[in-house]
Amino acid sequence: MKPNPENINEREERLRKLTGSSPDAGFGVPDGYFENFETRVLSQILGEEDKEVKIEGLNNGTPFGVPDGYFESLSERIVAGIQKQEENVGVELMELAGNELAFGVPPNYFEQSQAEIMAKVNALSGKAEPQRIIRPIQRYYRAAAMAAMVVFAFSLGFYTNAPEKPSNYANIPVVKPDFNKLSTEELEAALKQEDVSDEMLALFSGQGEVSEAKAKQMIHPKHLETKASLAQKEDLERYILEHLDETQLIEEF
Amino acid sequence: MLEPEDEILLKEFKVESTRSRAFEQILKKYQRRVYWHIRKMVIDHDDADDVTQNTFIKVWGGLDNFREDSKLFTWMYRIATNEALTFINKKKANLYTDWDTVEYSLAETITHDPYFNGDNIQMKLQQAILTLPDKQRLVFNMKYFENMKYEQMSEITGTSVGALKASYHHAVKKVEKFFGIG
Repeated sequence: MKPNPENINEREERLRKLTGSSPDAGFGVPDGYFENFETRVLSQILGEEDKEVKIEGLNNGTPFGVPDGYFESLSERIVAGIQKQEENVGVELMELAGNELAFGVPPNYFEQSQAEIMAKVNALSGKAEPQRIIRPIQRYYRAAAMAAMVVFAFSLGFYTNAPEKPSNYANIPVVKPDFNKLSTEELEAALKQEDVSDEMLALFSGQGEVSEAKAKQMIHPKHLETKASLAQKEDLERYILEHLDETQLIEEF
Repeated sequence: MLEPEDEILLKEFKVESTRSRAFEQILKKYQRRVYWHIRKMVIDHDDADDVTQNTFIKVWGGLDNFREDSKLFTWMYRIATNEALTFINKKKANLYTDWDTVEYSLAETITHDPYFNGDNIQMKLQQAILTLPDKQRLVFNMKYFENMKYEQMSEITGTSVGALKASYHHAVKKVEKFFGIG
């Protein structure tokens, strides 16, 4: 049978028969060369590296070296560095401004607020009707509103002895400066003829809800446009607030 | 994980006869922390009072469905945070046209707040904080004033720890810049 020239195995076999060569192609090695080959190569590699690092401070053929154990603790040191950096964020600011919160609350606020919330949730669960609780802050602004009203009333001529009435206030009844004779209803009725908002009346009478911000805005003299000068009104308001508490104001009315 | 005391309170809350008493205890325990968290965001006491009350009413309504896979406090903080942010957004939408005006208004509130006891530096600090975007302000408040852990902040805000750290870092830089330091 004619050999197939494309069969590589057959071609190799024919060549070996022709040359009589073995797999070592005629070359030889010293006895025992392959027995400890691996050990010798490894010791050569490791031995050389150790030698370089220890003696010359070189690593892996580069001219740079690192201290012993450098890479073992590297990740820990990086994490610690990040943590320290995070801890330092805001430290300078804290040293300057502190981190104490300077806000306050009205006296007994938390106790009263707790009662309010419980009243609301009990109402939600059908246990009780929500109760209207007057907070100290509201009481303060109510008193302030009363003071503002008194100032307002002064400016309208309620408490003046001036004989003449301004034409634009012609329909407002003028009363003598006698607190005892002036009822809250009379004052309310008179003020309703002027530009006094329902919110002011609500604050004054204690009926309805008015926020602290709104109350502040309303009792500010600039929002009470009357004949009296702002300075006079401020002085009078201050005097009333300093000398009369809410109970007295109510009694005066 | 629930604290043992909270676990007992929650069990009592689920029983009709002890429900109200248990809620009162929860209220006593957490009211102040929730209030201060909200107050720092909305600044004004009356607003903080309203938002705190709404928060606890929502807590009352949601306690039955509380899954107990987070701390009760964290869960309440989350509600309080949402309530505070919603309140601020409503305020912006209803009263003001842009953030500068809201910022100015809140800074003015601090200036005239009868319940602000701070000195000039603390006043300036609050004004600086008001220049931050809402969520950055939230992160700054929780970290700077409460020293809260980022992991807990992450549970409350639903933001990753990395993002919170970056947010705090940026916030501090801005506030420091306001003070001319850093």
